[in-house]
Amino acid sequence: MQKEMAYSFPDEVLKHVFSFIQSDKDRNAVSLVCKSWYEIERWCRRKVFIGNCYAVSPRMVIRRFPEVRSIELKGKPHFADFNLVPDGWGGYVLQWIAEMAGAYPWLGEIRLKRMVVTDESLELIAKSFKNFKVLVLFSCEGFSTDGLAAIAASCKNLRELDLRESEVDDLSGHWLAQFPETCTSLVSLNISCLGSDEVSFSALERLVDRCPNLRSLQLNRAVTLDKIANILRRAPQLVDFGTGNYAAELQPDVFSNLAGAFSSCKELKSLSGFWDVVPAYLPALYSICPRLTSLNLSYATIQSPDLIKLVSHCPRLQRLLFLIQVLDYVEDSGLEELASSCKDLQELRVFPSDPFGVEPNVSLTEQGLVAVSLGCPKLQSVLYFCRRMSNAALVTIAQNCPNLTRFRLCIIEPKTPDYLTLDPLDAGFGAIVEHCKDLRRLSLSGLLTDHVFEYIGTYGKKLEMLSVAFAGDSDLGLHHVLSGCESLRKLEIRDCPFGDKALLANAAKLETMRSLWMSSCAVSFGACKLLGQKMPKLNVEVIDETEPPDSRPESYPVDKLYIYKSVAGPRFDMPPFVWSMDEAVKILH
Amino acid sequence: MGSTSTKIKLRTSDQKVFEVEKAVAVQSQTIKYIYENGCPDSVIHVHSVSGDILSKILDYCKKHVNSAAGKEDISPEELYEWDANFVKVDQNTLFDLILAANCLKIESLLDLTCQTVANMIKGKRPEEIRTTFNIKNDYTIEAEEAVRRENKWAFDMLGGVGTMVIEELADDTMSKCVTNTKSRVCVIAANQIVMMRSISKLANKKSIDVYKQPQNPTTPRIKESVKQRNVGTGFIELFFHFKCKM
Repeated sequence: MQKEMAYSFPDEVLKHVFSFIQSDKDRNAVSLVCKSWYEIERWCRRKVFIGNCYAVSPRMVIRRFPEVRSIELKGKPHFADFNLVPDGWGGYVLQWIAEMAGAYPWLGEIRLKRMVVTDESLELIAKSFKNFKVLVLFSCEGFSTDGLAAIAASCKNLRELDLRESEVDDLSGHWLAQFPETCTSLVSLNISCLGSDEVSFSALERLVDRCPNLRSLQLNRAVTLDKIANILRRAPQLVDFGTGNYAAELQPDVFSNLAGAFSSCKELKSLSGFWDVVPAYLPALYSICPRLTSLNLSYATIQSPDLIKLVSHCPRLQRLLFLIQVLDYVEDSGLEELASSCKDLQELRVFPSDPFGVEPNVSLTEQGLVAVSLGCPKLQSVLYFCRRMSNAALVTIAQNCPNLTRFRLCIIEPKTPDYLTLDPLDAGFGAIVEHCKDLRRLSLSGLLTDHVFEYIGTYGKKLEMLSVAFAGDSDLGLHHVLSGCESLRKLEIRDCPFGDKALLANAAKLETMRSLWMSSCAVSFGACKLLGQKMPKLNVEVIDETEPPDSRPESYPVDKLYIYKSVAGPRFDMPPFVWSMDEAVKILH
Repeated sequence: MGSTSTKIKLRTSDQKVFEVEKAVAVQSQTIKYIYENGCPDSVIHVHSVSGDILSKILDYCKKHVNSAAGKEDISPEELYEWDANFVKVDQNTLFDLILAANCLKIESLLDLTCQTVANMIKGKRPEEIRTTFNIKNDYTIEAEEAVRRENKWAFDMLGGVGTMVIEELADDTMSKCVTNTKSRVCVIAANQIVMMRSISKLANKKSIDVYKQPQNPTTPRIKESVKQRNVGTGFIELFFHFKCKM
């Protein structure tokens, strides 16, 4: 006879068992087993991840999990990266910080993505959490170096300060000097996003000097090449390094100093930065190239011949290189070289150097990607900007790389057909979803009809995130996706002829997704209102900066629509250009 | 200085008496306390533990004491393997071991057994967990639905591929995970009982960085380097060395 576990175990034993269970999914399952397990689990959950800050309120989180030490929040929808979300839309973190300040005195880690963080928030963090260790502000905005100064001054055991891709107001370069002399705990510092002249270099040097555990350091453009050697010599234990400016007149002593400094870093595996790179200084890296697993040259205007030289002068680079981000100056030839040398490549990102130019300025085509797909069988993640594509190339890529989990193709000009046959690219993307059975993220581009969505609905069973622009013919396209993609969580659409029918027919699906974004489509205001009525647990928000949607006929399409599920009900911080379709809120608005 | 092996007598709930070396018995903080604060010659009653269970526990303690004292030539890895086999018992026995380890306050055994139970929970749906442990679902339908919704709507992560955290799984499952992982980084939880050899071999083949979480959760992750060493008898053993200087 099996013992009944719940009744024979004292709480502290169950708690101990749960301490070995870290993943959110498992913890969520534990909470559903029975009421006593729910209680015990919620008191010992230390880490919370919230994918949409409006899906739940701070109060609800605190009520359920009273002893959280680490929190991660995401704010604005992804299309904010493409300037489709107007300023002032939301994603403010202050209320979260204010409530957590009272409830979680031991909070040690805050990670935010696409949120608005003010100096007030930063000062509140600095004041409220005595054990604060990790602050990651990924793609955030709204704060200045004053806020950073408060963090630096007060957080005695700060381990990580990562400001990647955030927009920071430069008020003073001396915030780095606010780290007290007693602060020796830094492990990771990323200030690459700070504009020029924002950094006090001597303060930085002293900080690096006294932090023996510093493993990851990303400098900003203000740090010139001649200063890099000084920094590296103070931190030979670095694993991950982002240079500042990588430009200077070629001087032999500067070069040899730099080369020597790099070679003293025996653990260095990841490089980034390289603003304004002067190719003559690239050989200074050769000593560490054999160990590199990650190379980010997306800010480096490095031409193809120089890239080829870099890769080929390091005969063992190929085995370790995992991630490379380059501007498309790399051209097809550079990618072909990469494909023949770097057999272990898992992730490739090729960004456009001149996205708004009409004529292609470099010779980068679909051939480069095909070459990489052929030469790098471990390829899993692709982000590729180019100007032409063909179905044949996509089919080849799909067949060569069945392990792809992320495939984002951006053909710069909307509605570009297959350049060989002038057909839509339906078959090509169809091959991608059919062959890549683990595909989780897909971005489409080029000329596409409803057929591509039929393929996606049929084969994209593990697809979680789909980005669509200028594609499809009718509601059928949207219907295929909403009805077929079982794992779909995030769907973002712009400039597609999708209207009311598919949306209303698949309304229930929206409760299984994290969010849906539709802009410049054909969804009418009337349908939005209906959706708001039918699905009271969804937040249906209409965004229109020009005029209120109800000043026009109900059949008129809305400009932007953002729908997401929430247990917190409609939000209260909406700006005037955002309308909630929630019945109660509408009356008040 | 007395004889090299002071003995302590223990009497179980079913009146069995065990005579054990002191060094072994005091692995239990409870027994240690009673011994140090009571009469050294008297018999210590361990009321809540049966003879069978205590016998197993003493095996565990003896093995660990001997290996730590160097009395037994057993590598850390072999000890891991021994521990993994130790917990391959039926569920009732496992639960008895946990309760006994808890009341006898034997930290490493408690960690080992709790980790084993945690393994039986991971990856399962609530219904499956209930079946495994014979737990009654005392939620009302509405209450269960409310929790389910909150879990999925507020606290849900996408599949994601970034860092795969390997938190204790059985060794063959772990091997399967490492073989199938698409991640570049694996973090192994602190109290991991694994076959380090097989994992590191796989990790090396796939060029995965293996990080082991330290016991103290406030210190950052420490990279363990995998070293290979030829031992006199000619077979290669793998050792893990902590590179942390903190």
